[in-house]
Amino acid sequence: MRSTLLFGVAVLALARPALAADPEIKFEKYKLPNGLTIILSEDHRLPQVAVNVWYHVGAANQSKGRSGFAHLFEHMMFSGSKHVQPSPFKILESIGTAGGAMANGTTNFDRTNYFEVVPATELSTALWLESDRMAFLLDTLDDKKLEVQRNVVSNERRQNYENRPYGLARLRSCDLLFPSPHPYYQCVIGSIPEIQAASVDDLKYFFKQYYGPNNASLAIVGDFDPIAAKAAVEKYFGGIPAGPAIARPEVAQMKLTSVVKETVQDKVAEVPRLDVIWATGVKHYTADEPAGDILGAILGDGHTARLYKALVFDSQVASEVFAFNETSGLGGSFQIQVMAKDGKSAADQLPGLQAVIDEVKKNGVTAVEVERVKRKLVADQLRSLERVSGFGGKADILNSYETYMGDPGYLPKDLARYRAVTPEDVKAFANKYLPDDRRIELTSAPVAKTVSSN
Amino acid sequence: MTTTRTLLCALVLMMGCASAEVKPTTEAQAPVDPMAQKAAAEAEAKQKVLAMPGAPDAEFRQTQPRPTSGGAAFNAPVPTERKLKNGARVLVVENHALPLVAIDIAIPVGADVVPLDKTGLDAFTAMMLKEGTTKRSSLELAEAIDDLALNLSSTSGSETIHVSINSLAETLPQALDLLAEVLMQPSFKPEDTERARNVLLTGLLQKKASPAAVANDQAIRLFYGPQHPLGQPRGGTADTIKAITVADLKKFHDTWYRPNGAVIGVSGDVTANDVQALLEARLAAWKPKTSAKPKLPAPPTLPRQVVLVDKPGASQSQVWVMGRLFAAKDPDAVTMGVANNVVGGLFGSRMNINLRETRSWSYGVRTNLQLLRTDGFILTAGGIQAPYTAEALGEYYKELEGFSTGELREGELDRAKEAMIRSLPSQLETNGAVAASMTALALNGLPLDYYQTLPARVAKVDAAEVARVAKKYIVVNNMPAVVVGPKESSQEKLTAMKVGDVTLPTP
Repeated sequence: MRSTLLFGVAVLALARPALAADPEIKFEKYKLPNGLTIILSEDHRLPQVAVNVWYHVGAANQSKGRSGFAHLFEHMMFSGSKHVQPSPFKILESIGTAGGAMANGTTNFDRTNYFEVVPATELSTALWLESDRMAFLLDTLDDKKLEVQRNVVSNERRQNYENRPYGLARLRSCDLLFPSPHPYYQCVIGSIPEIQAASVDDLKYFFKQYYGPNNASLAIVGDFDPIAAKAAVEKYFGGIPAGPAIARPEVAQMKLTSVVKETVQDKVAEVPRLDVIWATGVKHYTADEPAGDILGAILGDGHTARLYKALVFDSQVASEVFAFNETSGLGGSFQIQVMAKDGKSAADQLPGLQAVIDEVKKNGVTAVEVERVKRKLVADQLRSLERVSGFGGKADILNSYETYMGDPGYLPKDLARYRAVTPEDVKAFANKYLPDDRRIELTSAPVAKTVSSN
Repeated sequence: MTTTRTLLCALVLMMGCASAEVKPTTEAQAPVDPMAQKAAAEAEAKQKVLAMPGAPDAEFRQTQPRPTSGGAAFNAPVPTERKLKNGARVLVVENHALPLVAIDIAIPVGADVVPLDKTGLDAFTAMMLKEGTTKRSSLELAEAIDDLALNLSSTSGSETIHVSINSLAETLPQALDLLAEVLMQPSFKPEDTERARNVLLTGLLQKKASPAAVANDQAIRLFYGPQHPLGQPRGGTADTIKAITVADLKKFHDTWYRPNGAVIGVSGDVTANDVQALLEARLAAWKPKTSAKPKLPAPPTLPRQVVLVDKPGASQSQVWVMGRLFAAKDPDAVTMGVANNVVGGLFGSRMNINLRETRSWSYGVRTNLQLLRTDGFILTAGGIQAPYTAEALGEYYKELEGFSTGELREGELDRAKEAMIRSLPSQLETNGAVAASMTALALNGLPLDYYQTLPARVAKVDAAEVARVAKKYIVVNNMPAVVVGPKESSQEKLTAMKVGDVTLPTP
C-alpha cells in the first residue's frame, strides 16, 4: 500500500511543469589576437569578482617517467613570477583573498586551473598576477624553488594517498586502468621518484609548450564593469605572444581481457574495501557518458541506491557504497566501491554486488529511478551557481564547457543530454560496459597492526 | 598568388612537411635507427619551442595595480527576526537570486549533555533521524527526500545539534513537511537502530585510520579532561555505542530535541512572512520542555607536554599544538582573529611559510581559532614528513614563542586585517553558509548585525592591541602538543627537546 502511494506521489511530482527553468549563466565570449579566450559574466550580488584561468593541459600531456609533472608545475605557478613577488598568495592575502577556497589551483587528467575571488575593486591586481605568471614565470624560476615544491608535492602525496586509507588502491587503479606509458598512470599526483626527477629544463619546456594564451581561457565572473574589464584584459594579456599550436594527445586506453584480481596491503586502513572497476573507454562529452553517470547514481548515490539497499540495508555486509562513472579526455572507467561492515570481508561483498549488476543487465532500471537522478542533477547544477568561483562555481562551469566543448553556454545542452536518457539507455550501458569477465577486482586489506606499548 | 602559396604551404605543413621535403633518391642509404630519428626530431621540436620569444616587459607590470575607486561596500546580511509560538527564534535573510532555500534548525545542546558511559549518544540520535519516521520507513524516507532533490542532514557537534535542509524554492512546503517529520517523529525501530549501530561501529574503526581524527580525540581529552563529556572520543567508543539502547535514543530525543533555545536560520528565495507561516504550521506540535543540563567539571590546566600516538610505518605525522582561549563573545575575539592571521591563519602566515615554503617538511601548517559558547582554543596543526616530526614541533613552538613577544613584521598587520575584512562576502556567498552563520551568531550571544559592524571593528585593531593579546594568550608553557605518527623516528628526539613529558596513551 505504502509503496503504491509513494509511487503516485512521485509520478505526480514528475508530471508537474519542468522543475524550475534550466539554470542559465549569461556571458560574453571573445578572443584576443594571441588566441586567449575571454569569458565575461556579470553577477552583482556581492562586491567581489572571480578571475579563473583554465589551461588545457593536465596529466594527459606528461611524458613517460614524469608522472605528477603537470600538478608539480601547477605548484610552481604559485612560487612567484618576475613581478609578482614573493608569491601570488602573499599578494592575494594583501588584498584580502585567503588561499584555500578563495584562491587556489587544481590539476586533473586533462586541464589545470587557477582561480581567485577578489574584492571588486581589485580586479586589476588579479589580472596583473595571472598575466605575470602566464608571461614571466620562467624569469625567477630556479632549482631552489623547484626543490622546495618537489618536496611539498611529495608531502601532498604522503598526506593524501600514503597516509590516507584506500589512497594506495586509488593509485593502483590508475596503473591498472592506464598502465605506463599512458600518461594517466599514477593518477595525477605521480610517484615520488618521478616527482623528484623533474628538472628546471622540464619546467621551461612545459611552460613554453602549454602555457601560452592560445591554450588558455580566462573567465571573469562577478561585480565588474565590462568596458573597464575588457580594457584591463587587453592591457595585461594583449602583449603576451601566442605559444606553439598544440596537438591534443591521443593515447588509446588499454582494454581489459580478463578479470584482474589484486589485493593492496593498506597500512592505514582499518576496514576492508572492495573496488570493482571496469575500463569503459567512455570519454567525457561522448554519447554514452550521461547513461553511465545516471547508472552510477542509481547504483551508488545515497540511500535510495540499489547497492545501498542490497549490501547495507538488506544483507548488511557493507557499511558504505559508492558507484560512479569516471570520464576524461583519454578514457574512462566505471567504479564501484564497497566498504565492508566491521567483521565482514571484501569477498563477502561480491555475491550481492554481482546480483545487483545482473538484475540491471537483465531487467533494467525504472523510470522513477532515472527521473529521480535527473532532478537531483538539475538541482545540484542550480546549487553550484550560488558561488562565482572557487572549487566549482559559475566560472568553473563556463571555463569547463569552453575548454572541452568550445562553448561556455553549453550548460542547457549538457542538461538536455541527461534529460534524453531513458531507462533502456541505462540498461544498455550496463550490458555494453560492465562485462563480468573483464574487470578489476581490487581489495584493500588492512595490515594487522602491531600494538605498541610504552 | 601569394595567398594561395601560403595556404598550400600551410596545408602541407599540417600534413607533415618533413616527408614532403624528402627527395626521391636511388642512392643506397645507411640504415637509420627509427628510435634515434624520432628522438632527434623531438629534440629539434623542443629547441624550437624553447627558442620562442617571451612577452616584452612593460612599465605597468612593475608594481601591483592600485585598487579602483568606488565599488559597492559589502552589505552584510542582517536577518529579520521572528518568533514561533513554541519560542524558537527564526532569523531570515531573503535572497531571491536563485530559486533555492537553506534552513538550519540549531538546538543548543550536543555532546556536552551526554553521560560519560553513553558517549556518542548525541551522534547516534542524529543519525537515526534519517532512518525512518512514524510515517515512513527508512527507505521510504530516503525516496521522499531524493524525489524532492532535497539535501537533508542531521548532525551533532560538541554543543549544537543541526537539522538542516537545502531545498528548491518550488518544493519548500513539501521539504518542510519532511524536515518537521524527521525532527519530531523519528521512529527508532529496533532493526533500523541495529543497522545504524553497525554502520557507526564500522565508522569508529575507520576513524582510527585517520591520523587527524586520532589527534583530535587526544587534543580534546587534554583540553577538557577525562571526566568531561567533551573530553571523550568524538562519536563514542565501540563500548559506549554497543551499550546504547533504543530507550536511550528515544529519551535523548525526547529530552533535548526541543524548541527551548533553538534558532532557525533561513536564507534564500522566500519571504520572512511566508517562511514563518510555513514553519509555524509544521512545528506547532514541537513543544518546549525544560531539562537541566548536567553540571560540567572545570577544565584542567594545560601544562606543556607531548602526547605521542604511535603509527608505525606512517610516512607523515600529524603534529598539533593547542592553547586555551575564550568564548566566541569575548571582547578580545576580533583582535585574536587578526593575531591568528599573523601567526598561522593564512597561507602566507609565519607558520606555513616556515614549515612548508622554507623547510618543505609539510603540505601545509595552519593555526585556527575555535571559539565556542563557553570556551575556545587556538590550534596549530599540520601533517609533517615523519623524519622531521620533532624538528617541526620545535619550529611550531619557536614561531608561537616569537609571536608571543607581540612584535610584528612589515606588512603583517595589514595583510591579517584585509584578509579578515575582505573575505567576508565570499564566506557569506551561499544560502547554506548564511543560514548557519545566523544561527551561530544567535547561539554564541553575538549581535545579529555582527557581520555589518565587523569590518569597522577589525579596521580599528592596531599593532599594540595585537601585541597585547599575543602576550596574554600565547603562553607556550601552557600549550601542549599531540603527535600522531611513527614513534621510532621521533620519540627520542621529542624527549630530548625537553618541551615537557612525552607520554604514549594506552591504546
